[in-house]
Amino acid sequence: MAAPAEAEAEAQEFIKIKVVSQDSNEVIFRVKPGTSMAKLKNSYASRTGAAVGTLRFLFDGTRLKDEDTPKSLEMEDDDVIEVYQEQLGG
Amino acid sequence: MTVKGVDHQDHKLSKLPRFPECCSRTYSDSSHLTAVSCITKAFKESINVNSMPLPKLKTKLKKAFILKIGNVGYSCMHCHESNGCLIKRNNKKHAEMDLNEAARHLASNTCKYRSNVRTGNVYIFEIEADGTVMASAGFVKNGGLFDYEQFDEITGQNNKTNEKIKEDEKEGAPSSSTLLAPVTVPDTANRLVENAWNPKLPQEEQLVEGFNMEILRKDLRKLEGLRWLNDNIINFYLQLICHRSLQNPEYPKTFALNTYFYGNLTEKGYASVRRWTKKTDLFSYDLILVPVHKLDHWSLAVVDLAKKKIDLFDSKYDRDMEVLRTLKEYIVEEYEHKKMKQFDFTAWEFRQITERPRQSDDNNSDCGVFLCQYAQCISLRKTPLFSEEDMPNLRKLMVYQILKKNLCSEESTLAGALSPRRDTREVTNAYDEMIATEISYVADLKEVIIHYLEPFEAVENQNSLPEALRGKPDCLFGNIRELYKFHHRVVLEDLVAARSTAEMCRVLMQHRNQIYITYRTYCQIHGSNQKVRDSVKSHPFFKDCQRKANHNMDMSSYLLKPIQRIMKYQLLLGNIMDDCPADVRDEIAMTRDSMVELLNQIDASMQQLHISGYNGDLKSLGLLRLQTECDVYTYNRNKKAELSRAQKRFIFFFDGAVMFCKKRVSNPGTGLNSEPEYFEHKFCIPMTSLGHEVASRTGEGRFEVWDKAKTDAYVIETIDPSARTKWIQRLGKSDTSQDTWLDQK
Repeated sequence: MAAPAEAEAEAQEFIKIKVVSQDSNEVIFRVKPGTSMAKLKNSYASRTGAAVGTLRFLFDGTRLKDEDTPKSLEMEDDDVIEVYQEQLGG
Repeated sequence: MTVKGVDHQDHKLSKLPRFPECCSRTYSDSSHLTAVSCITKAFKESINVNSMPLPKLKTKLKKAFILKIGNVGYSCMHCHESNGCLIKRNNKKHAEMDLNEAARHLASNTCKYRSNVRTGNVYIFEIEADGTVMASAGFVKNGGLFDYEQFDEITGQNNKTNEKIKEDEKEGAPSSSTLLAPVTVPDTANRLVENAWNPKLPQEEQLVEGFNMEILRKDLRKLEGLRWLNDNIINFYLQLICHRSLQNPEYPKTFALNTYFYGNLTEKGYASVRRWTKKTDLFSYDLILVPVHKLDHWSLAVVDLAKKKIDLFDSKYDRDMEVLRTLKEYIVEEYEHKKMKQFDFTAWEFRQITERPRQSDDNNSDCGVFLCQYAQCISLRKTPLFSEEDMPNLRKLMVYQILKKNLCSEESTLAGALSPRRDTREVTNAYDEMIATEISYVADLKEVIIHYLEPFEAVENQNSLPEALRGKPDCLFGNIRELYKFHHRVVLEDLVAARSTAEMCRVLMQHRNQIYITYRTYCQIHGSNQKVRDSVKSHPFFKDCQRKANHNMDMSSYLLKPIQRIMKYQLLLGNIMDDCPADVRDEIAMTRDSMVELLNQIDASMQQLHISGYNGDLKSLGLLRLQTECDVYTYNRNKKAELSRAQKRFIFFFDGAVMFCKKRVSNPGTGLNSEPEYFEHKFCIPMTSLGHEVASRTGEGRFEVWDKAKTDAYVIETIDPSARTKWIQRLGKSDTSQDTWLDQK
């Protein structure tokens, strides 16, 4: 269980969010309601060693915009963000 | 910005920029390129090319061509098929194909450029002995009768024809077709695409943003050449389609699920996507587009809630029932979850669409583009009519549309161009489609006969057949030979000879009776032998036939073609009718109605087979005109007595009698040949003593019939209210028609 980078700051209200990849690996983040998803995406990407541009983050089937926040998305504790790789087909 | 439409063939693209073909398209399998060089060489040898002025026949032709080589014959310029054999280098035995054969070849499954035939993009070039090059103005349009025009006029080329074939015809050398009209490409559009594809500019640069997505240069570059499309492009494009539907209330209301949806659904089940529609009520839409990403391949499923069907469009493969099944289950669960009710699939159809533009076998690149363009057409309720040849252009067009975040370059004119009411070109297309599909249908019938029926009947094969079927070709194939002969010799020829839509309608009407009789026989056999076919489907003999025939589809799919065809006429006529001038519309409408009626008759006659307990000969009752489920109440006419309680009955209107039956479901296991459902004969009212009253004193929406020779009368309330009208009409006609029927007897 990974400790979130931004959790170290203030002892404020945090939301626990799971980021789950297609191979079912979970990374748990504790984020402030106002934290931008850009930050979460970058943090996840650097943690997994993937380029952020190759990952697609979805919450309830909707792509996350960089400027989205847990608050704007009405996220609650234990909500799951799914991560997908680029799909290609010919 | 003004973008001029230039292409006159593809109405769907008119008003949109047309890009000249810039990239050479070499598929992984280069054999067809080699073959092009071979035939070019072969025909050079055969007609002493050096003394002749010729067009530059390059290896990259945009349309399907049949090339006439001197007096030798015709050949398809794409797969180089002539009499079924590939033309080989140094083999001078080429091109013994006659014109009809060539046309049929183009329409057959073996021709890789078949989709062009559907769109009418077939040109025939003739090279005369004196060197004049003549070209038809489009094969299908003229119904196989070629109005040759000077080559120059067709292509818009001027003196280029005097150029001799250059000796630079290296195998696979990229070159663009010079046979086509030069296209004026809007500078702005072209510049936009060039910029998007520029490999020297930053690949991570964001070029468009929308629908919660960012499209980077590297995403748009997936549309270059033969590269595979990614999820970003497909999701974005499908959102553009939804956006267009939102902006144009006259289009079907369209929703697109994303490319991750299907994989989740299959791998993790409904629960994993349950929340994806928390803000959406899928059931408020007409169309739901479901992109399917499976094993590095894209295809498109469409849930059509308005027309009650789930269709799968796969540009490459023919058999994938899993998608349809999975989506059906999804709809059930979603409906249950959202509406707390059981979804009613009554009258729903689940189809893998076989008549659609598709990739050639060598093409392992374009399925994503096919997906997007299927979706684009379907969301306008248009039959997809593009082809593989359009891919380079469509790829550029898609870049342009994505950059503009708009599917239309000129919203108003394009919407005008695509709306159902339009100029007469659509008529021509629907008319072309009628003939093109007829050609391909005849070819399909021929395939079955050559590859299945004939081997099945061959004496030397008798031992390898399933024992139960030996000597019984009818059990499997019905009267398919008769169908073939009829369509090949009669319908197709007459349709081709028809010069106008009205004439075409007359052809169909003229042969209506024959169509009915032939198809009734086929449909009856087809229905009752479904089990037989299923049981032998995987028998080695048929597998072997399929392999030898090189068919993607199995025998059953081919045997289904007649059923599909007979249902198609009215659809095609419907399409034609929507767009044609008012003065012929009535005639087309009449023909279409007649074709619908014909389907009803066939349908009815199939049910009729399973009537049990009738002592006479059903055939002596004449044609079955109507059948309806209804509630029947009985009362005594003399006593004006109380009505009996309602009884569920099926009533059948034959030319000779009205028959009352009860629907029965047979117990499983009571005899091998019993139908699962059949009709038990109760009684008949002969037409000669039939009395009727269109209204009933007992209630609205009912009518009454009785036998003048008996005392009981029957109050009828149809389950489907619209059926009542049909009965009233029929009963009204019966006074006159019974006389004619009796005369015939």
